[in-house]
Amino acid sequence: MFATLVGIHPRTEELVKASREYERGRITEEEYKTEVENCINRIIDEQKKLGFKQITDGMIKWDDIFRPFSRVLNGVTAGSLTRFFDNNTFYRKLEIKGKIEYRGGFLNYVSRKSEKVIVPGLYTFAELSHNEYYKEKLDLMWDYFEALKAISLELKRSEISFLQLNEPSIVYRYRKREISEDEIRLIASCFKDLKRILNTSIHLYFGDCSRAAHILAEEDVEPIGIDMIETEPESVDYIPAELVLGVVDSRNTFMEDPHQIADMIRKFRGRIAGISPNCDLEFLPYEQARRKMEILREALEVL
Amino acid sequence: MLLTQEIGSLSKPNWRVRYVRGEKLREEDLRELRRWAEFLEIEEDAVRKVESGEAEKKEVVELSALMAIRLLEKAGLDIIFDGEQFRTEMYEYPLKNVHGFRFLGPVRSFDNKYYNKAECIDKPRLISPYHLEEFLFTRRNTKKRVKVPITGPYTLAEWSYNSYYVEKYRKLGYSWKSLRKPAKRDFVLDLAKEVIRPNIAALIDKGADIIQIDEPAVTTKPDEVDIFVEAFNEMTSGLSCKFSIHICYSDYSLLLPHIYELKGRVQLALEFANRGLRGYDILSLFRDYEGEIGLGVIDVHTDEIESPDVVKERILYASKFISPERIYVNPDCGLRTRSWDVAYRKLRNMVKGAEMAREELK
Repeated sequence: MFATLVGIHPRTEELVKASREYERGRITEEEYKTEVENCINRIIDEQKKLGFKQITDGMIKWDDIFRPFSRVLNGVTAGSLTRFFDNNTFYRKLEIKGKIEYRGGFLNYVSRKSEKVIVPGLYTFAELSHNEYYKEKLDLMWDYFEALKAISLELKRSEISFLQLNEPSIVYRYRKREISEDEIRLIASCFKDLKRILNTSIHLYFGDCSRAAHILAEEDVEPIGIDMIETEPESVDYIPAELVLGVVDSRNTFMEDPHQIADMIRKFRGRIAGISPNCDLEFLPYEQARRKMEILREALEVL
Repeated sequence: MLLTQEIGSLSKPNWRVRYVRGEKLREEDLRELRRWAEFLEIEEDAVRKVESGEAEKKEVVELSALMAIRLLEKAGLDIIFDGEQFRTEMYEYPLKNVHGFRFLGPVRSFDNKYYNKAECIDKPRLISPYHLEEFLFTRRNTKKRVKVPITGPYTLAEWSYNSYYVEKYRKLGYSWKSLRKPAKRDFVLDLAKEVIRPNIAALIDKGADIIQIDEPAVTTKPDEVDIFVEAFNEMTSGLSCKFSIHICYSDYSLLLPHIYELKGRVQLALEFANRGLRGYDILSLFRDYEGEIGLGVIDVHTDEIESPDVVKERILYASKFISPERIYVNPDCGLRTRSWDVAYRKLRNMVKGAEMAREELK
C-alpha cells in the first residue's frame, strides 16, 4: 500500500512572497522562476523522503486546475473568476467558443521529475466550463478526451507514467442525480482508452462519493480515489474496484490520528491500493500540508 | 439617482510599501510619488519629508491615505474612503486586533493571490476597535460622504480554520458531519457579537453614517446563508446607520430567500462586470428586494479600461431589472490588484458612464 498526493499542493511561503514581488516588478522573471523550481524540488523531495509513490510536482505552475488548458487547447480561453465548489478558492471558468483541439505545450506546465500528472476529468471539465460552442455536452467531453489522449502520449514520451483524472463534479451531480447513463458510459470508456496509454486513475471528492464510486466500479473503472472525510466507510465497502482512500482532510487543520486511520483501513473490506489526502492540499498552509503528509506515512507504518 | 461609490481597497504604492518596510526608496518609487503628488495637488512638505527619509512610518501611511482620498475625489465619486491604506488587507488586519486567533501561513484565494489564514483557538474577543483611526483620518480630510468597509463575521469565520468550536462539539460527542453547522453558527455569532458589533458601535459613536459589511464568503456554503443573516441582524440591531453588504464572485441566487430576513433596507453591493453583460440577468431575482443595489460595473481583475459607454450600457441594462432610484454604481470589488493609473482611469470612466446613464434615464 502506498501514499500519494491527489491535487494542487500549497506553494512555499518563499514562492508566495516571490510571486507578489514579481507581480509588482520588485524581482526579475529569472529570480521568480528560480523560486518556482525551488518550490517544486522541495515538494518532490518531501514526497520521496516520506516514501510517497506517483510523485507529483505539486502543480506549482498551475494557477488553478483548469488554467493550463486555456493555453494548450484551441477553442478555449480563461474567463471569469468563479468559486471552486464550497471553498474560498476561485478558478477562471473556461470559455469554450470553438472546437476543442490540443495545440501542444502542455509539458510547459509539468516538471519532468513528476511521475504523475493530475488533470480535470471529462465530466468536471465540461460541467465547470462555460460552453458556447457545443450543442451536446457529450461532444464537448469527447473532444476534451481526444485532447487528453494527445497529452497522454506526450507524457508517455517524457516517461511520465501516471495520469489522474479529478472528478469532483461527478460526486456533486450524482448527489442530485443529474448525471446521465450516457455520460457515465462515456466517462468509463474514455477512461479505459486513456489507461491503454498511461496508468490512469480517477479521484472523487467534495462530497459523499459512494454512489458515484459504485457506478464507476460497475463500469470497470479503477483505481478510484475516494474522499473518505465526506464518505462513510461502510458505504464504500465491497466496491468491486481498487481504491485509493482519501483519509486526511485537506480543508481542516485538525490533525488525524494515524492509528485511527490504520484501524479504519484494517476494517475495510475492499481492495485498497493506497491512501491520500481527500483532495488538494492547497487548502492548507505549507507546513500543515506537510504534517498531513507525515500522518499518511505514519498510518502506513502503523499498518 | 445612480450615486457612485468605491468598494474598498486601492493598491499600496511601492514607495509606501518600501518605506514602511524600512527599505530604501528607488528612483522609480520617488518619481511615482512625485507624479501622483503633483496630479493630486498634495502639499509639498509631506512629499519632501518622504523623499528625504525624514517622515515617520505613520506619516507615510497617512500620506498614501490622503493621496487615495484625493484620487477618489478627483475621479468624481460621490461616496469614498481612503483606499484602505491603513490596513494590510481585509482579513489579517482585523484578526490581528482580535484575541483567539493564530496565523498559520498563506493559502491561495486565486491565481497568485494568497491570504495568511488563521486558526480560531479560543473564543474571539475584540482587543480594541480597529478602524476608528482610519475613519477619523478620512473624515477630517474630505467633504465627501464616507463609507467605512469592515469585514463581516461570516467571512472572517469562513476564511479561518474553526478549531475552537469544532473541538467543543467533538468533546460533546458530535460526529464531523453533525457538528459542522452548529460549530460554524457559534463561531459566526460570537464574532458578530464580540468583535464586529463593538467596532460598528465605536464608528457610529464617532460619526460614521455609512458602513459596508464585506461578506464575500456568504454563499460559500449554501446551507449556511441563514447564519450570515442571523449574524447581521444580531450585530446591527438598534444601531443607527446606513448599512451596505458587499458580496462578490458568488452565486447570488443562493442569497434568496434569506435576504428577505435582513432587518432594515440594507444595500447589497454586488459584483457583475466580471461576468459580462449576461451576468446582470440574475438581478431579475432581486426585483422584490426593497433595499438598494450597488451595481458592479468595473471589472477589478483586468487592466482594460471600461469606456463610459460600456458603463452606461451596463447600468441601463441593469435598470431593466431594478429601478434606477435603487441603483448605486461601483466597481465589482476593491481595486487593490490594479495600479493607481488603471484604478483612476477606470473610476473616472465609471463616474462619466453613470452621468451618461443618468442623463438617458431622465
